[in-house]
Order: sequence, then C-alpha cells, then structure tokens
Amino acid sequence: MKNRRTAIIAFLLCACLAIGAGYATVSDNLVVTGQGNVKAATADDFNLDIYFTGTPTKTTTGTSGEADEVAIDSADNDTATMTINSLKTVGEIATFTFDIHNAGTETNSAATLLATKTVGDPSLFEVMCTLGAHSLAPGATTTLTVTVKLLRVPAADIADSAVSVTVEATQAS
Amino acid sequence: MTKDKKITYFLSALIFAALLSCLFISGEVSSRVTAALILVPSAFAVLYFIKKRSTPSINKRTVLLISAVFALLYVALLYLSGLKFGFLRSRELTVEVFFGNILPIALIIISVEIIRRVILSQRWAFSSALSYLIGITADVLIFSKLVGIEKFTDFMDVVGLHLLPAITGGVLYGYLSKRYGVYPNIAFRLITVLYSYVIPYTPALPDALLSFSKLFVPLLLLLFIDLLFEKKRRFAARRKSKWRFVLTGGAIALMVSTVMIISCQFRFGMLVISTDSMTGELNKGDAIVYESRDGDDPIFVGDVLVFERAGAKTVHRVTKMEKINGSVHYYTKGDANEHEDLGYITDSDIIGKVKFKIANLGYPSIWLRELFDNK
Repeated sequence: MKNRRTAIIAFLLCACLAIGAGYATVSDNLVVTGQGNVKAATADDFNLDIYFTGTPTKTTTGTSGEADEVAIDSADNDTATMTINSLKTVGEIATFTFDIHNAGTETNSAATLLATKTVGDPSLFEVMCTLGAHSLAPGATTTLTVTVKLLRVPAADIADSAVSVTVEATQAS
Repeated sequence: MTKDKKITYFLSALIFAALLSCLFISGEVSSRVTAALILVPSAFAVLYFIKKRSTPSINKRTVLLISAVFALLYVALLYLSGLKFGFLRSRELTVEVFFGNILPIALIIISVEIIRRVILSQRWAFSSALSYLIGITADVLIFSKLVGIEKFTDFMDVVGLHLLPAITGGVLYGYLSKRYGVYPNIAFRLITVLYSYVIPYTPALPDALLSFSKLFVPLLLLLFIDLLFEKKRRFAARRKSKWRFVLTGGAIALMVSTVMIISCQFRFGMLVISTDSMTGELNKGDAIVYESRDGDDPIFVGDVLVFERAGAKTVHRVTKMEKINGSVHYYTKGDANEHEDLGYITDSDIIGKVKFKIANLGYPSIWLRELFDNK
C-alpha cells in the first residue's frame, strides 16, 4: 500500500510536469510577409526580347512553417511575383532565383542588364539582387537571384512590405 | 495455467485487438458505435466464460451514492467555473446525438466496467494490471483522436485530456471495482462523461485546467472513500509524523500554484520565451512569470511587458510612451532587435508586466512543439 501511494504521488508529479510543459503558453512572433514583384526588361526600341523563362526556384532558412511562393506571369513572362511567408526570426533569408532569357536573334539584340530594387520598408527587409551576367547575348540565358533578409520582427499586425526588383535591359553598345 | 486464466488472456487479447481496430475507423460516431458493438458482446463473453468471484457487500450502496454525488459536485464545479471562463455551445440533444454518442458511450462504459470487475475478481498477480490496461486502452482509443495527430495541440489533447486522466481514473476504478462492485464506477463515469452531451452548454475551461481537474478528481474521490471506510488506516494515520503532513501540504500547494500559473487565467501567469528578440535579458528557453495588469497599474519606460496583438503573445520592452487624444501609445522593442516594433500598443493590448524569469525552464515546452512543427 505504501509503495502504491509513493507510485501514485510520483506519477502525479511527473504528470503535472508533463501537463505544465505541454500547456505552457509560448511567446510568439508574428509571421512577416513581403510581397514582391520582379519585372524583366522592357526596353524594346531595338527589338530586344528579354523575358523570364523556365521555373523559378526558392529556398529559405525561415522557420515560420509557411511556404514562400514564386511564379512567373504566364501572360507575357515579363513579370514574376514572389510572396515571402517563411521569415519569422531576425537574420532568416529567403532566396529566389529566376532565369532571364534573351530571345533575340539579331546580332544587335545583345543586351546589357541592370537590376534595381525598391523596398517599401527598408527597416523590415534587406534585399539583394544579383545578376549572373550583366551582358546577355542573343539566345543566352542568365540568372537573377533575389535574397530577402529579415531585419526586425514587429510586434504589431502582420508586417507587410512591398519588395520590387526591376531588371532593365538596354542595347549593348 | 488454469482454464480461467487461459480464457481471460484469450478474451483480453481479442478485446485489445478489437479496440485497436477502432483506430482505423474514421468518424467519431462510427468508431464509438463500433467500439460499443465490440465491447458489449465482449462483456457478455467475459461474464459467461470466466468465473466471477464475489465481493464483500459492505457499504456498496453508500459508496455508489458517494460516487454519484461526487461526480455531480465535480460537474457543478465545472459549470461554476464557467462564470469566470465563459460557456461554449455544445451539441443539441437530438435523436442522432443520443444514438450516435450517448448510447454507445454508455454501453462502452458499462461493458468496460463489467470486464474490469470480472478480471479483477480473479485475484492473480496480473489480473489487476490486465484490467487496468484494458480500461486505459478503451479510454484512450475510443475517446481520443490518435490517428491524424499533426499539430502539437492534437498531441496534448490526447495526452493531457485522455491518457493521463485515464491512468489516474484507472486507479480509482480498480480500487472501487475490487471492493464495491461495478455500480460506483458506472455512476461516476456516466455522469462525468455524458454531461457535455446532455447539457447544451459546456464551460469553456482552459485545457490546462481541465486536464488537471480530470487528473486529480478521481484520486480525490479515492482518497475520500479510503479515509471514510478504511478504519485501520485512520487509526494508523495518527501515528504519522507531522512532517509528512507538511510535505504533503507543500506538494499540494505546489501543484495547485503550478496549475494556476500555467493556465494564465489568474493574477500570475507563466510564458515560455521561444524567440531571440530579447536575448540578453530573456533568452530563448527561459520561462517568465508575469503579473496581470490591474486597471491603472503604472507602466514605465524600460518595463518589460507581455502583450498581445493579432493573436500572438509577445514579450518586449517599452522604449517610449506618448499620450494622444487621451489614449497612451506604448512603443516597444525587443532588446536584441535592431529596430523598434512596428506601430504601438495600447492599454487594451497589455496583459501584464514581467516579474522574474526562471532560466531554461521552458525548453521542454519548446522541444515538444518543435518535435511536431518541424516534422
């Protein structure tokens, strides 16, 4: 009887600990999302035909449990959209890679590429965009890599900031 | 091995296998009806094939009455707690609910208790353990959702609301069954399980508190009946040292205060820090105890607050305050964050002020959650 009583008390203490650990309220940060638009080159005065091609890829070190989204607008392939849902903790990075193709066939349709970025709230996201090559010969393809790093975690409503990268193509001289 | 033992083991194995098959039946109603269809014939088989040894008939009616009254008191206390925590609308009592839930559950409880009673009455070395296991298996497999556990909250539903209470409940039911027959168990269980199906509103008790109450109430009833009727022990108790009472009282006080703090429904609450935003002062894995804000308690710049916005509880420090149109705006920042938090919070967002921390106490909570979230 004494052993049984000891066992019951020991079990109760362990059960209390287990329930305490299981039901303890855990502080949380809100998921931080960022919209993004990436636009391919538009300059067409010299018959440049630059557009996104293939399937963009995404990787993340984010821990929010939500997935990022990336897609190319199939209407004209010159706009790609990325939605960043995976970032939760300061320092986490979401990376998106796009293929940019020069479909021109003439020798004068070689292009020089320049990528510029705009961030709605620069205190929230740090955005880096890197082109695989700044010169794109006719028929060639290069990559555009956009990395979005979370700089701070807001305590208010889900933080949303527009992230925009524009790739401008001009005729290579 | 005697014939009764062989039959008992055989029937028990069949019952276990049949109960396990309920795991693969989708739908709450279907699995309960199936469980009832398995257990009712099992109870008849156990009654017919295994010889039951009788129990002494002392105090059976009294204990039945005590069990029923205790169960009713427990349900009444749960509903009283609804005055603080509110009520939720539960199922309406319809013919479907009666035949889909109430009747199968009642049949399951009665059958399990009959099986427990017969096996317990055998009095071999393993008969107690066997009856105990059948009871816990039936409680967990039939009344909880084991298949399809994806989130941590699903896991805690099974462990906190079904498995752990089934273990302490099994101790009570075994004790009562051996000494006083099946009726006290049946009365207690029918009242404490079926009330939510019969009464259209149920108290919105936080899961932590409900889990603790289900864990302790069977043991309280056991203790009460044991003290009331076990006279030899009452006389022996007078010889126990006072330190034992002090230790027992201390353990009870500790468990009660743990319940109250974990539930975060009373003056003090506990929160586990799961992020790095306050690293230095409050590190990931620390547990903080906060005091709920009482109306006009002053807040100062530098205070570390617990507040809630968009459904998330956050622990950050106040960096600035300003009064605009009669309302105070508090600007906050995590110590380790580069920038202030976006926007501001107001008095209605503040839950409380951090009082002290217990380093690393919260890691088990974080590990448990990460186990499920990172599958």
